[in-house]
Amino acid sequence: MRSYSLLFFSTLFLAITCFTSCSNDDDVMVPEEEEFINQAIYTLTAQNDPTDIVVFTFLDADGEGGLDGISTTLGTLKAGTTYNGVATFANTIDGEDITEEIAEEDEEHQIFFQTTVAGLTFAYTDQDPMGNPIGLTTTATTDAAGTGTITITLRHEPAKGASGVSDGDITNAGGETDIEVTFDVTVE
Amino acid sequence: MLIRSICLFLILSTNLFAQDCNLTIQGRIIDNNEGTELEYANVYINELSQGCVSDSLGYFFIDNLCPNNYHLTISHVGCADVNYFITLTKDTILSINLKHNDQVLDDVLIIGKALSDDSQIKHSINETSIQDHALTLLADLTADIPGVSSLKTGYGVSKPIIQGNYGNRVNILNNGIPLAGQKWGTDHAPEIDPLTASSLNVIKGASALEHLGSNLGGVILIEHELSTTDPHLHGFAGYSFETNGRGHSLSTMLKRGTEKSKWRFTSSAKKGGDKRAPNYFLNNTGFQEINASLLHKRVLNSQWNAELFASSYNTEIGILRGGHIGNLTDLNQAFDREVPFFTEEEFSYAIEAPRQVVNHNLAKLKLNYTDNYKHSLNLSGAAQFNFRKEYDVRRGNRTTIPSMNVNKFSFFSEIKHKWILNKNTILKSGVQNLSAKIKNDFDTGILPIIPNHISNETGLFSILNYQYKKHDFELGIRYDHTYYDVKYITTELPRVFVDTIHTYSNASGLFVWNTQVGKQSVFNLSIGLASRAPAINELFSNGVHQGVSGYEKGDTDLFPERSIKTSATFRTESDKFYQFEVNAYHQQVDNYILLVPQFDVIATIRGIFPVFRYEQKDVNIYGLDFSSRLNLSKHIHSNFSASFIKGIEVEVNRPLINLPSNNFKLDLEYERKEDVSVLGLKFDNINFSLEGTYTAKQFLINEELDYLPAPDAYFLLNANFAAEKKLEHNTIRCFGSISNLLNTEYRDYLNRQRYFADETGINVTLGLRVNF
Repeated sequence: MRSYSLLFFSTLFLAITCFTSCSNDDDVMVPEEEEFINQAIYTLTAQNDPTDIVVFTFLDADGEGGLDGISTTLGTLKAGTTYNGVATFANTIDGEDITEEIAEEDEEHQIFFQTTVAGLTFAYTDQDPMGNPIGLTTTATTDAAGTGTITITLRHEPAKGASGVSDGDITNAGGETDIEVTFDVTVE
Repeated sequence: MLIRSICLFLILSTNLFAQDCNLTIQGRIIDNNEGTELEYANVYINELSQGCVSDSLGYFFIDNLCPNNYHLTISHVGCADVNYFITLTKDTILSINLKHNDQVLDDVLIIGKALSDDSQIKHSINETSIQDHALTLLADLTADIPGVSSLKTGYGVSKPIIQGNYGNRVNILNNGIPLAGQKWGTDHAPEIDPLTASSLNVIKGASALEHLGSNLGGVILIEHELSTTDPHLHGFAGYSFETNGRGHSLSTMLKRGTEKSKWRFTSSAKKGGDKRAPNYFLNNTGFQEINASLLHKRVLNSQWNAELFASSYNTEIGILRGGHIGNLTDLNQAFDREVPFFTEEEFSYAIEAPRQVVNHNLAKLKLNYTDNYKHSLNLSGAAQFNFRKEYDVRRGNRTTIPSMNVNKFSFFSEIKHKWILNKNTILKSGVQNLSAKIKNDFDTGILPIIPNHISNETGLFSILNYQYKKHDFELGIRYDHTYYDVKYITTELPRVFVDTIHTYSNASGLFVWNTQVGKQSVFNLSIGLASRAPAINELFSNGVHQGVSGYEKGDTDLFPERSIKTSATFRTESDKFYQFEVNAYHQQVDNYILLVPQFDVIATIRGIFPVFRYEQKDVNIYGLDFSSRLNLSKHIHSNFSASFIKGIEVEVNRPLINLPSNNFKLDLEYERKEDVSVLGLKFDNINFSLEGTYTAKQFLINEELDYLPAPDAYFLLNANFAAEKKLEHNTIRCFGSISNLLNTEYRDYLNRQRYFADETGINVTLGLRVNF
């Protein structure tokens, strides 16, 4: 009896001490968001004129929540021209380049380019070790003049072998969307 | 509020002449409630594989017995089997009082007026039923009770809905201790293994004021019964296998005891792989679990006794890979698929991300004092440690790093006093406290959805029970104070911690009237006022809820929910030909907290996400549960049950989401408790049943608040069997079931995974258990 009540009251005492002393003021750091991406840049440089550059930028400066992200387009594309495209991704809050990480895990990633502009086409110029496209480097070819949008999607763990996926068709890709941003585009 | 053994015994022994192997046991079996004799009760001596059946006056007689230790089993329709140990040295007369006002409707035992200090009606699932469904989740077991359903996320996570209330509104107690788990989010199941329990009890009524925690939406009591006075080791060991998911389960229970000291130990281990819908495997839906519990009771002296209880629950659950999606575009794509993404041809036991790893440990010490006359006092203290890790598919080899890693440490303490004022009046009072500390591990590299915080809940209650002739009254009041000290991270840059304190005060009240109507019926009315402080996820959630494809925003200005529930039950207590129970209820909840989709979306680099915000509505929920049993002959009976429920948001007059649709269940059962031979084999107890369930389409949905229309109605056919053979020292029980016998393709409104995949197809379970 005595040992039980001793056990009981000592447990109670321990618990009370713990919960009164464990106040909520632990000195902890705000965690870093490691996989977080808040900036995507797609740069198109004309093959016949290296000074002809069009830059598409999406930036969500304060991350998810808070203020919405903003997409901007600098420049216009010329009709009947082929451009070299480079996609880069970054976490500007913690100053991390995410492009490298995607390049390292190239088999698990693919970037898709979709547009509403007639005649504007994209082709992959890079490959992972399995011979499937990644999309960090591309070519974009314009045809006639027009305006519309380009949507760039980065998929994690897509089914690269599924029908049409290696040609850039997103329909059967599956996986999770890490990035999906839309830009206005004008072809003159 | 422990449920004592369902059948109570009173043993009177009388010394007659003792002779070698010429001893007798005789006696009479009486219905404790009505004082009438019980015919056809079985009295069985396990050691001799011999027994008898009581005659029409309740008398029984067994002779030619040697002096020895014997284990007796007494069974009767409507009672769970009860074992008794006796040392026979002389002719013995037993007077056995079986409490027989309990009613069995479709394996669900209804306990009303079982205890004089508790007028609420409980529905109970017994140990046999739990063990026969060893691979079934807690919420799916309780869903056998009319009015109780389960809200699922996939195939390994489900939480109970009691008459429309779920999640933070349902209170779960494990051996009297409020389960201090992490119940926020529909994808978090209660951290309890049903196999450790001796019974699962559900109180659907107005509110149960005796317990700390939400008393607004029903209570589930996980009981661990230990009343043995048998000095030998008894228990059981069982194994089950199920074809769908190729799941295995091993479970054991051991107990022994004397008047002074007794203990009960349980353990279980389960493992399963990918489940299968009728046409494809559900990838990554495997699980594994290992659990144990120990209960020890000791009489310290004539006034004090002590109880020690410890339990450990450890699980790893895979979440359907094809149901884990990113933004709104992914979600819309997933809807269009016949077969989910990531479906593979091969079965696998592998559990990969997305997955959950959960541990819950509990240690409790209770001291009980009684002056054996008027007063008794209970002192309890319990510590709980809860660890939850959730893994998502991540970039940069981070899949092995949890995306969410939250630990919860809590301590519960309680002092309860029971005062028997006179033979008609009992007063119970108590004070309770639950302190908890919730801490994120910030090495996840993801901002936490739930902030670090400390919570402190203190409650006081007083309940008066008064019996007047055929009437029982219960009047209770309760006061709760909730305190949160929260340290959240700002969404604006630069990100910093902000410390904030929230407090809530809630008052609750309850009135119950229980009365005998005529000789064989009971009417129960309960009216309860209850309130619930907003939970931490409702106040502080902020972020994309992965797999749910929504950006969830909490609201720190939420008020407590206030509910008034009226529940009326009528049931017959005769076991002759037809028994039924009908329960009608109405619940009005002001400030009902609901996750509501907003008209705006949030634009992130991951794409567009719909915004969901916790809002408050005034709602009405009402419904009717019905269950009945028709005894077609001595061995054949048929059970029927039905549940109807409707909920509306009062101001806008639109349906409340996430309520079960109307459902119906009909079965035909053959049961025989004496010698019977099947295919030349002799059994002592057999049971076959065929069951059909029909779940209507949920038409009461709010199209604005859902991505897809509700799934169609479906009909499922299930079959069960069990056969028992008594040996000299053991009873062997073979059991099995076939669920979804027709391999029907269907989806259920209450399963979040309905957007992506079908429910599981046909499943055959087979098991063997040895009771010793």
